[in-house]
Amino acid sequence: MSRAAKEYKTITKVLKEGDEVYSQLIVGMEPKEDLTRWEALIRGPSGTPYEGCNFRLHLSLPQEYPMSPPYVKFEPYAMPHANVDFRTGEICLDILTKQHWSPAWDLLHVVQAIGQLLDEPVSSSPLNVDIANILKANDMNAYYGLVHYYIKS
Amino acid sequence: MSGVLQAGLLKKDQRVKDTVLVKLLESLICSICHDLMFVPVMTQCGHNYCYDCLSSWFDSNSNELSCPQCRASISDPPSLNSVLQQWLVHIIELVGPDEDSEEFKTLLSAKESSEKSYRFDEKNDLFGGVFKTSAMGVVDEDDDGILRCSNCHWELEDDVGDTCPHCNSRIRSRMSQPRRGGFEDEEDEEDGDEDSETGSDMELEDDISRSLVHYRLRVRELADTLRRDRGHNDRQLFMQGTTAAGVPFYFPDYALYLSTDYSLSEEERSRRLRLVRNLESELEEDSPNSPGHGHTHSYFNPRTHNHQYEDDEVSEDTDHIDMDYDDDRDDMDDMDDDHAPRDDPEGGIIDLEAEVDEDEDEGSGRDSAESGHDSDYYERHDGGFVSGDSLDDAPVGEDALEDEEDEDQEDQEDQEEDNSDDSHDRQESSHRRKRFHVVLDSEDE
Repeated sequence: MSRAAKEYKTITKVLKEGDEVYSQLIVGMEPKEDLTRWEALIRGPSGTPYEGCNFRLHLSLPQEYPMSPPYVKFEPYAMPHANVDFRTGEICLDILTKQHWSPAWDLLHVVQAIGQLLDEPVSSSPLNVDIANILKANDMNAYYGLVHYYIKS
Repeated sequence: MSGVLQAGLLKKDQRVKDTVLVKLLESLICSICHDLMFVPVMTQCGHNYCYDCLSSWFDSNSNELSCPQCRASISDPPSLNSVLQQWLVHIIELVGPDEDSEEFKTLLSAKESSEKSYRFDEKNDLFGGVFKTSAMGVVDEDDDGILRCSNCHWELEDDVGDTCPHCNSRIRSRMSQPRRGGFEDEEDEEDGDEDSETGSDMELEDDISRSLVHYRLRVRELADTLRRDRGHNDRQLFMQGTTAAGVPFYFPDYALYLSTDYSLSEEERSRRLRLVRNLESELEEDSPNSPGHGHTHSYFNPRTHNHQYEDDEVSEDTDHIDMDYDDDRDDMDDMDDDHAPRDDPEGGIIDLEAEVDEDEDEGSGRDSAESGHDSDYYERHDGGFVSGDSLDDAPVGEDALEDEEDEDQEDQEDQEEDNSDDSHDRQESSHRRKRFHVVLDSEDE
């Protein structure tokens, strides 16, 4: 049985039974068509401007998975975040690069890491320069305002 | 001891036993394929994977072989973990007779093919030969600090490509530092300071050691110039100290000069300062016969060896010149206002009072640090250098100073040098007593 199939089993089990770590973050997660394309819906972590809103993630597994990392993107034009390209939804996260990926990680780990990124944006490696600059200036009002403007519209 | 655990576990209710069983089965799961490890191999960091999984991980990430779980760099081929393997075999044998499902048959055939592929590779090359055809670039900081091929120890220069020019191994990682991870961390912490000094620091150290020599020469030239320019009206101030091993150094010393070079960033300044201090202490530790010391000698005082014949006279002079440090300090306090600005050749030398303070700190630190040598010191002190004699000789020395004028400073330096060569023990004892035998060249007295 392929690794993706095993992950599918684990993920459905985790979501069904509820898990301390993941049920906070993951609203739903299921494969599309075959097991190489996945969609996940994650909850904005509390204590962030993303709280109260859900965000859609697209995951796709390369042929070599798990030796290569999955490609993960947010829905385009939906995620205002310092490390996310607003137009494409591309995510700047080290563990998603070939260099830093480890086959010991799975899709749940990846989604968890992205949830953490929402909590702690890294303004030093921005894909959204406007938000990163606001964060660097530590202007939390502007940060919340800008994120809310995008999310609500 | 195992009996206690066995009895204890057997007394537990079924739920606990089930948990133990589940945990045990989980430990047979490979974290790469999330399936049973039919051929478990263990890395040197203690993590287990299927042979096939780890092999294909190495294959896809062959530039830097690392453990998927802890990222420790892997230098040795992982070996078969036969205990884990036996566990799985036992469990399969226990379950086998009652199982007739398709799934179990699939499991058995998967086991068979995994073992087959391992046996095949074992006869040829395990892990696709990655540990044979490739080597790591390693640096032994304790040896020469040069990046070398871990197979043949050939030196790997920067422009070398991905293969070792000597043994043709592919270089899979160029590590600037010894491998970290696992239990080796402790070792690394011991020489933590050394670790941070990588190649660039060593280059810088060479640089600094050259400018240190240059600096000392410049200070000496400057002192000579000052002496000539100022004539005999002012008390001339120039100080020369000697380190424990008899190497002369000059005030303001180079470390202090560096610490006021504000063209460098603060970080860079403290880095250089640290290196200079290291160099200075190395110079001190060098024995007079070592090549390093000899080199410094000749650099400072090319005429040293021509002046050997002056030795007798010279020692007397030195004795009286080695005055107590505190006295010197009083003298200098009177004068630093008018001297300091003109002493400054490159805009870097700071005023003498500050110097003195810092020197004093250093000196006192050294004194206390060496108080352990006291008994030894007194013996040497009685037999060799006795400051009482020097008082008697003082007038002679003064005369000599006035007579020789421009020459005297250099002679004193030579004398210092000669002393250190010929009567090193004596020098050493005197320096234990007080580090700063300052030569105060005051022509007015």
